[in-house]
Amino acid sequence: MSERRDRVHPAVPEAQEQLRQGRISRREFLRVATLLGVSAPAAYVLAACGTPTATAPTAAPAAAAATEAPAAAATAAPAMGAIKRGGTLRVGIQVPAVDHPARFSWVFDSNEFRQVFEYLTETGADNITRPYLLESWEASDDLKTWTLNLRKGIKWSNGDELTSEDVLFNFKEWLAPETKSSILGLWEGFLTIDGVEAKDDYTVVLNLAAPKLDVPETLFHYPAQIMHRSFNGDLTTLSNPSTGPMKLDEFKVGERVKVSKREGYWQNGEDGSPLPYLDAIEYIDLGNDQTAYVAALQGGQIDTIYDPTVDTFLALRNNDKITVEPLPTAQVRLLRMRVDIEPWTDVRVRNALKMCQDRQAILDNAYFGQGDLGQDVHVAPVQPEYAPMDVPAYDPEGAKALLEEAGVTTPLDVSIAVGTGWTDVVTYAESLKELATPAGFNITLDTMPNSSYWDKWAEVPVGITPWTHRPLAVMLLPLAYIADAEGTPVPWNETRWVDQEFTPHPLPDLARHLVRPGQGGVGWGLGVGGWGLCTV
Amino acid sequence: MAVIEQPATLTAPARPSVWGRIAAVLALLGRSRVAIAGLILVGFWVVLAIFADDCIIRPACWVGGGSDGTVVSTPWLARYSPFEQFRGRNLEGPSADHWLGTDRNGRDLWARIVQGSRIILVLAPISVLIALAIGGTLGLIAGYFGGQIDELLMRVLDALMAFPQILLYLIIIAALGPSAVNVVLAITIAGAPGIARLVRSLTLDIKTRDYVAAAQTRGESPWYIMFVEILPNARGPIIIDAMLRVGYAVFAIGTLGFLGLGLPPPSPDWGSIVNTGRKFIQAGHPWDALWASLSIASLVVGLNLLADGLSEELGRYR
Repeated sequence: MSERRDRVHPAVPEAQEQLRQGRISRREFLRVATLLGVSAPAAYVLAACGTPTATAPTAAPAAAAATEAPAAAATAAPAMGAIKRGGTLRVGIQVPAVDHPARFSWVFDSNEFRQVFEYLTETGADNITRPYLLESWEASDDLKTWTLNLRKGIKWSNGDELTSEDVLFNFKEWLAPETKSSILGLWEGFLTIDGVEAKDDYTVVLNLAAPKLDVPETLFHYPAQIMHRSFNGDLTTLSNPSTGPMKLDEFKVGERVKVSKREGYWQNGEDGSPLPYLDAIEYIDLGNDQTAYVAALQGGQIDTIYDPTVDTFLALRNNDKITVEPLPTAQVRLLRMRVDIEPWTDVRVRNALKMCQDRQAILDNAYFGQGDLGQDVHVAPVQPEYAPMDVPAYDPEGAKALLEEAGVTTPLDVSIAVGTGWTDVVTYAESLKELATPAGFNITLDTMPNSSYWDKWAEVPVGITPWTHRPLAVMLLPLAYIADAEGTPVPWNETRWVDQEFTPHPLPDLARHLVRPGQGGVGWGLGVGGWGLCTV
Repeated sequence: MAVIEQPATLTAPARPSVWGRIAAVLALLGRSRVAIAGLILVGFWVVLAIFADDCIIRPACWVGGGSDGTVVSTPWLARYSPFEQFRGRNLEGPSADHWLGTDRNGRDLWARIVQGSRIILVLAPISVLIALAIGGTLGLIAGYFGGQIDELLMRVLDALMAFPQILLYLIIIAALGPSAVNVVLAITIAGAPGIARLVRSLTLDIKTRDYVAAAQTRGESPWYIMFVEILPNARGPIIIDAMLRVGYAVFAIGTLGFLGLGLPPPSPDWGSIVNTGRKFIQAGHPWDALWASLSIASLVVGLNLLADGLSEELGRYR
């Protein structure tokens, strides 16, 4: 990021003061400062100046430790041994049909194209968002005008230069309702296409209707890959110009994707030569059965597995050729009910089912104890918005009393929709069935293939939905827990839970980044960890 | 009337009592070693299924199903409830506590296998019986009346048979949703055409016999002739075919369970035990998949041996 900038957003010294007083964590400060346009290295320096000598009273030890780790990782990363160039990485991952990147509906849709098409910003493993195709950004004091400065000299694979015209084209696509992009929900109430303006060839100005802090993070939402202004609407045709270090060679739905090195990429590696280090990456689809991926990894046909399941983990953890790196994520199995359908309209019935969860028992069965316990908010300990809370206790007697109070006749028949491809989800429901029986719930499992679950996941009265990791809760909560300007729940609001204070019309507070614990009343679930698996 | 084609041992001129006839069938089976082996295998599972828990003396748990918590049965041969989850004992191998080990939820595998035999031993014969009733009736009608009725019925059934059976199961279950009733329905629909074809060919043969002509001359109704004159005389092949079909039905129920289209979890369906268990073979826990596969295999082999022995003995008197 540019070090030339002389203007510092007025909120930065304020946040620094809050950090000094121990009112916000270091992690939170870093995030806010970088979002407001301070470069990441500078933010780390500012944080060091602002950190109180004694441990901040509000910061839990665990949270403090967690803030240190990414910083260490960030500085350690460039110092890794000598750079080795060449080779092909083979990744075991499903290859679904895709067309427009803005319509990606799951992370693996985007993964296969990340080497080819790029984002304006990038949120790192340390939760800090840095400019990528952008050189820098600036936010006005009221957070309503954002100036995005494009990096100069980036060439598309067809020789054109990346300009604000390309960025404008992408905003038009994202914000047009007919594109049907999930990005639209993130800008709902803040930005229409009239607010996007190309000031010159390298500057785009966003004029928002309301203050928004997470603009740079929103630009890294996984469908927000930047396409050339001549984009033909179908990503899989090999003819679209790209800015990434690799070019698309082959795309076969359900079979494979191959990308290979292209000349003239704008970024250099650690050794001073242009990236990429690898010659090619092959994404190989082995179906939706994880055992096939495990066998392929053991047999050396692939080098790594995307999104390994808990079964995969069990199968591979004792294999000496494989390192298992435990990594806490915000991926979650979310047991939720629709609050607009009887009997879940009554909060007492919802609470009764919550109290039927012996969370440790469920985690032990479903995930073999590998993960964190859910606390009835869709915010994970790895996200900066997280506030430590007690894990709700298992209380079938209390649940029974609540059901009686609500006037529900027991046993109350409940059908939980589960995708059988997620064996841990099925086990979650099976365990819950046993645990909830004493309270007066008669749970049956409505089993279906995962694809059928995705067809109706937002419609079923009760279901267990896998939600993927997002570095920040603010990237997720507006997708699932708000209503649009008309008061209709947004498309991914599977619970239909809407709260005046939680919905950004009018905006609840300046930054929308503060989620008070205990306010997300309907979504909860089982926090689960993720694993990185790779062969040595 | 119906004694012309049958050996004297099977139908005595004076109608024997029910027990007498059962004894006759058992005596017939007793002469075949193959049939005895089959009988032992099938009998093993039947005894386990009946005495898995105390449901046999408590009719309430048949009504409640015993799995929704309203009626709790006391396990006998099963030793534990198939739904009880033992904390911290997930994925264990065989031990004195858990004879066959535990599954990923810490449930006793022996209890699940034993209770699973009840499901399969109820569903498989029921679905074959219904298929027999439907397919048999259609076959009799087509064979006896012939002509256009025959053409119409058999072409429709041929069309059904043209689909691979597994595809029919998948279509039916996917459309109706997984449940015990729908599994029975799927197996019935897929099995009836084959039975109809067999019964039709037997009918075509038998309706040329003199006793059928005699009944027609007496002015008996077609239905009387079909069900009283023809059907009993075709029973030998039909019984053997049905026996084999029960074996296929066991297999089909196992397959549906394996594909996630059988009885919904946590029901101890053998097929779904294999399916969930197979993911842990790579993790060094083959027990779920092994025991459930062995169970399916032994029951199917038992039923086939029984059918083989029976046809062997019946064939001896042809």
